[in-house]
Amino acid sequence: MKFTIVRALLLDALYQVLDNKVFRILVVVIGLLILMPLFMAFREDGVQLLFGTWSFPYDKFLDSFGAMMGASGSVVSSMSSSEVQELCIQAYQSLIITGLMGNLGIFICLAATAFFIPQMVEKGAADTVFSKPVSRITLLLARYLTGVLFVGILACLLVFGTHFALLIGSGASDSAFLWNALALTYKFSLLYAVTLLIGVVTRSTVASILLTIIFMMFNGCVHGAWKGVQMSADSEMETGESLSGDTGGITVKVNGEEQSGDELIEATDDGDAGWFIDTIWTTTQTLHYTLPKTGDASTIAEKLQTTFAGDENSPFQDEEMALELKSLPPTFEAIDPTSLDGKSEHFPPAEDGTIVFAAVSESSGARLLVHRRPVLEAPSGSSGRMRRESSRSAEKAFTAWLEADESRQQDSLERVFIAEGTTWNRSARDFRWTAFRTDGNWSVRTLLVREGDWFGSIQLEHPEGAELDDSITEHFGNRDYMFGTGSITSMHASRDPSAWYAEKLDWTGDWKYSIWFSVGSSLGFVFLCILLSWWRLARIDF
Amino acid sequence: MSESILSVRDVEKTYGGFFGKWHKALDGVSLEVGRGTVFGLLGPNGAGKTTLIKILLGLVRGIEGEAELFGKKVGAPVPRTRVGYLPEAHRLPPYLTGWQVLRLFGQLCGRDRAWLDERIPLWLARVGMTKDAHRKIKEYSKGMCQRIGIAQALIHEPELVFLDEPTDGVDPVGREAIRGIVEELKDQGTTIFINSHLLMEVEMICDRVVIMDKGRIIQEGTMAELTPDTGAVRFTVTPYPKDLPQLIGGIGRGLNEEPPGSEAEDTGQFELTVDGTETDKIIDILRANQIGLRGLSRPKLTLEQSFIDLVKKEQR
Repeated sequence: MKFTIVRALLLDALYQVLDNKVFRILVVVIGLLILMPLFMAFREDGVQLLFGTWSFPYDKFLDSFGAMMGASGSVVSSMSSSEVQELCIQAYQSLIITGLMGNLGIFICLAATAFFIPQMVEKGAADTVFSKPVSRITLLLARYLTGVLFVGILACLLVFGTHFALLIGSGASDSAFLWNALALTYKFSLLYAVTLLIGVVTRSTVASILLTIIFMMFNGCVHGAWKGVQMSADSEMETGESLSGDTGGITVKVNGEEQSGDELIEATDDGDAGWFIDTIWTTTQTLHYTLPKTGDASTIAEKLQTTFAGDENSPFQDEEMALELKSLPPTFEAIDPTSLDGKSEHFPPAEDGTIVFAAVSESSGARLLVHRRPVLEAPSGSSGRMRRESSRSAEKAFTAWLEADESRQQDSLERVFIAEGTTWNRSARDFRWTAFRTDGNWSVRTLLVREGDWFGSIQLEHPEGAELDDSITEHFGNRDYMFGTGSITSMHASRDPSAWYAEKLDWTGDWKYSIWFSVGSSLGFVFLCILLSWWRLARIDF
Repeated sequence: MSESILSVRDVEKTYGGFFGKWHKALDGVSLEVGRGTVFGLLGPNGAGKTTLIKILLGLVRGIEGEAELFGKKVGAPVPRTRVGYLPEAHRLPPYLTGWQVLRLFGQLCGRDRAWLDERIPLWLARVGMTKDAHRKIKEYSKGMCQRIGIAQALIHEPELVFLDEPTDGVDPVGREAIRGIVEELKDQGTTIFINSHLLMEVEMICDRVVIMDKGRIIQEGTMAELTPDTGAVRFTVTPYPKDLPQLIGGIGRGLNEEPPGSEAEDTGQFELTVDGTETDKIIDILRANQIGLRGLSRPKLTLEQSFIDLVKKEQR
C-alpha cells in the first residue's frame, strides 16, 4: 500500500478523533492526572501540597486514609519514611493506571473511538470512501490500528507523564511502572476488536459501545468463574484431606444409611457431578481459553516489571515457593545454605528438602533459615487412598516428628493466619520447640506454610539464653516481620481467585497459566474478530 | 463506437432473503460505454440506476453476469484509480474542512500531497468554494456539500466520472457552473456517466442515454434517436378558429382538436402531421378565412416526453 494512502487514512482518523468531544475530555483528564503529582508530591519527610505550601507527615496523611488502608495501616506504622514514600508512590501509580485508567479510562477510550467504523459504513459516507481505490480490508485495518495507535499514544502520555511528574515532584518513581503503557494499550486493543466487529455488524455507534460493555462484563464473569473453579480444583486434594482429618467420629445419614465423614468424602469424590455441571464447566473452560484475557494485562505488566527490573534489594527470592526476603534482620548476614547441612533439623522428611537460604547473626549466634520440600502423597483416612499432603496432615507429621525423638521437644503450636493487606490470607503453623543438640539447647521457632506444590518453613533459631534483638523476635512473633513489612513477603495469594490466578500466571509452567498462552489466545481472538469483521464488510452492499 | 471503457453483460442483482422478500434490482442489464461519451442513465425511482453504478464501483457485490471497468472485472480497487464518483445523497466527513476533504480523497486515489496542493485551489475556484475552503463540512449547506462533492470526484483527474444527481440541491447559478464543468470534461475527452432526474440537463449534456425501469433497460440510444422529429407542424394563428377541423377539411393527420375555451385558444397553436403541399394548402385556407399566421415550426419530441411515454407504456 502506498505511503500516501497510509498517511491519508492516519490523518483522517486523527481529525476524526480530534473532533470528538469525548476524546477531548479524555485528553484534558489525562493532562490533569499528569499534573497532579506535581502539586501533590510524596517526599521522604511527608506529603507536600502545591510545592510545599502545605506539608503533612505521612502518619497524619495516612491516618486520613485509614479506612482505605485497612489491615496494612498497621504495616505502615513499622516502615521507614523512605519505604512509606515508595509505598505511596506505588499506590498512586496503581490507583491511576490500573484502577482509574485500566477500567474507566478504557471505557472512555472505547466511547471515543467506537464511532470509527459505524461512521465509515453509514449510508452516504460509505459510498464516497469505498468507491476509492482502497480495499475494504485496508480501510478496516486502518481504522482498527489508528484506534489502537491513538489510545497507545494517550497511554504513553499518561504513564510517561505521570512517571516524569513523580520524578520532578517527588524525586522518585518506579521505572518498571512504564510497562503499564503497554498493558493499557494491549487491554484496549483486545476490547477494540470486539467494538470493531460489532460496529461492522450493527453499523451503530451506540450499539457498539453498549454491546462492548456487555461483552466486557460477560468476559469478566467467564474468567472469574473459571478462576474460581480452577482454584478450587487445584486445591481439591488438599481440601479433601483437611476435611478427612476433621471428620473423625462424625457420621451422617445418606439415603437412610449411616456413613462416616471419610466415606462421604470418598463417595462425593467418586460421584458424577452430572451432565449439566459438566456442560457448564466445559463451556466455561472453552470460553475462558477462547475469549480475550483482558484482566491479565495488569498482571502481565507486573510480571514484566519483575522480569526486567528484578528486586535489587532483595537478598532472597524463591519464585517456586513465592517467598521473598526483602531485607535481613539487624546483624544478620547471608551465608552459604549448604554450610548448615547437618547442623539444623527441618520439617521431615529431610531428604526431600533443602535449605534454600541461610543467614546468621555473629553477635547472637542466631540463624534464619528458609527450607523447602515438595508436597508429598500419603495414605489418607480409613480407605488408605493416596492423597497429597494438606497443611493439616503436615502439621500432624511435624508434631509426630517432634515427638518421635528425645532430642526434640515441642513447646507450643499455634495455627495462625498470615494476612497481607485486606485481599488475602492463608493459614500457617507456628511451632515453638527446643532442639537438644550436641552444641547445646536451641530455641527454635518454625513457621510452616504450604504454597502450591511446596511446603516451606521459615525457621528462626538461637542458642538458649542468647540475647536477641527485640525487633527480631517481636516481628517474627507477630508475623509482620515475615509477611507484612519486614523480611519475608509472600508474593502469592491464596483465597482470592483473581490474586491466585495472578500469582499462577507466569512466563513458564503449565500452559493454562502461561503468559504466552494468555497473550497468544487473546491475540488469536483479536485476529478472529478482524477476520469476521472483514468477512462481513466484504459482503455489505452499500 | 469508440473504445469501450465500461461494459456490462447480463448483470443481475437480487436483494433480500434471510426471511425477507427477494427483490430483483437488476434483471439482465447489458450496456457498453465508449471513451469520451457523456452517458445519461434515466429511469423512475427504483429502476436500478444507482444499483448499476454501485456495481460498477464495487460498492454492491454478489452479482450475476459480467461487469468490467477498463477491461478489468469490477470489485478490484485498481481500476477505480481512474474513476471519480459523486454519490447521490452523499455524506462527506463532517470533521474535515473542504480543503481537507479534497486532499483526503485525492490521496486515497493515489495522488501525492504536493500534486494535490497545486490543484485543490483550482478546483475550489471552479466549484465556487474558495472562500469557504477552510470551514468544516458540518457547517456547509447542502449545495456547498454538493459542490465539494463534485470537486472530490474530479480532483484526481479521472478518466471516467459517475455523477449521481450532480445538481441536486444546487442553486441555478451552481447548476450552470456544474454544466460548464461537465462540458469542459467532455471537451477534454473524459467519459461521463450521469444519473439525473433533471431531463432537460441530460438532454443538453448527454450523447447517449439509457432508460431503465424495473431493473431492465427499456430504451437505449443517442439523443437524436430518443428525441425524433415527430413529423408534425405547429401553426400559431390568431384568432384561433373555433371550427378548425371543418375549416381544414381533412387535410393532414393527427390534428390535436382542442375543446372551446382551452389553452390552445389562448396560445393560438395547433399541430398536425402534414407533408409539404398540405402545408401550403392550410396556409391558403387560413389566409382565405382572414386568420393571421404568426408562426410555423416543426416540434421535436422532448426527452422528458419520450421518457414519460416509454415508462408509462412499460408500466401498462
